[in-house]
Order: sequence, then structure tokens, then C-alpha cells
Amino acid sequence: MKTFKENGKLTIQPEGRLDSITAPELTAYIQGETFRQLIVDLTEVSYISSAGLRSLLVCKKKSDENKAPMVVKNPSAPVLEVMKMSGFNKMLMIEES
Amino acid sequence: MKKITLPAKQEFLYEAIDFVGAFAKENGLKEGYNRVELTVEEVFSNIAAYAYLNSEGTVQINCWMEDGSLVMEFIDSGVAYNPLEQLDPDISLPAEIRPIGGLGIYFVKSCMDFMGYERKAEKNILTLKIQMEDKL
Repeated sequence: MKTFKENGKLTIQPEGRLDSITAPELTAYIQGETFRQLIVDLTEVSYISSAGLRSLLVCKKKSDENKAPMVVKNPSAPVLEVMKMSGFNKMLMIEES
Repeated sequence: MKKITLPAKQEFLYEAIDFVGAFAKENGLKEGYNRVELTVEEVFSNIAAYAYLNSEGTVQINCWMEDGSLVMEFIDSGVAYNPLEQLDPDISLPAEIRPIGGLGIYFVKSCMDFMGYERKAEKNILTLKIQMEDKL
């Protein structure tokens, strides 16, 4: 998982799988952060489960707490399929490029 | 039929996924078993997290093919739990009031064509089927 911050804009790039083994890292990381804008870039994520979505929801709640917008970028086809199954595609702002 | 028995612990998740994945591939599936993989994770993680509470136990996974469907059977000796009785989450809720969790079993229901539960001899037996041809 890569992270970088620039003028209050925090970008997180998880890699590989976002599942019950790996998602806790993202959840733990976001707890301690403050930011004015959050980008979760899913370009390098090939698989997501309910545990991964749980982490994204924690990120979204944290963003709301910070009154900061959150954008999810470039989910791959299998990741987007799981987001649609759960209504997360309507709940989160998703940007595809 | 192929079977594997693993400790019911999160760190054995990939062994469970690899076992079912290898079986699916042996039976002619090459790509796109996202739904199968998702199902294995949700069921296995659920058992690892809740079945044995403060004690330790195992999960047995049986796989076989039946009329073009992949059948997976998950057996544990933990507390009785019938996932078919779990209410579906409201997937239209906005983030502010979304509960953290509750999606796993819903995904299993969404991905599988058949889901059966039986409590027998102090064991939970969950049977799942997915038609290979049109879903994968």
C-alpha cells in the first residue's frame, strides 16, 4: 500500500488484494490521518471482498468526519462487480479514467 | 470428490481459496472465478471469526462437480449458525448510516445458485452450488 499527501490531499494506493487479511492495514492507517481530500486509487487492486468494502466504508466515514470529499479511482472489473453487488457504486464517488 | 481440512483461522484463508481454485481449474475453468473466490473468502472468514468463539477448531471443505455445477461443502463443529436465516442488508443506505459489516453472507447468496444448510451431529454443513457454464 502506497500513500502520499500533498497540500491536504491524501492519496492511498492499495495493491493486490483488499480482503480480510490485507484490509485491516488500510483501516488502521486511515484512523490516524487528517486530510482535506481523500483519493483511494484502486488501479492496482485485482480483488475485493466484504472486508475490503468495510475498509472503504471506514475511509468514507473518516472523510465525512474531516468534512473532506472522498473519491475512489479506477476500480477493475471484478472490483466494480462487487461494488455493484453491495450498492457501494452508488454510495461512493467513483472516477474511472 | 476432493477435500481439505484447515484450522479455522484467518491466516489459512489463502489455503482455502487455493484449494477450491485448483479444483475449479482442474475441472476446466481457467479465468474468472471471482464469484467462487469471493464466496470461499466470505464463508471461511465467517467461520474463522465466529464459529469457535474462544476455542479452536477446523473447517473441512469438500468439492465436487455435479451436472455442470461446482459444489462446495463447508463443515465446522462450531456454534450452530444458519446463514440462510440472516436478513439481507439494506444496500441502498447512504454511508452515514451504513453499518460496518453484514455484507459477507449477502455476497454468498448473490453469487451462488444454491445454498443449503444442515445441522447434523453437532456440525454446521453449508452446501453451495454454482453453475459453471453461464456464470463464469
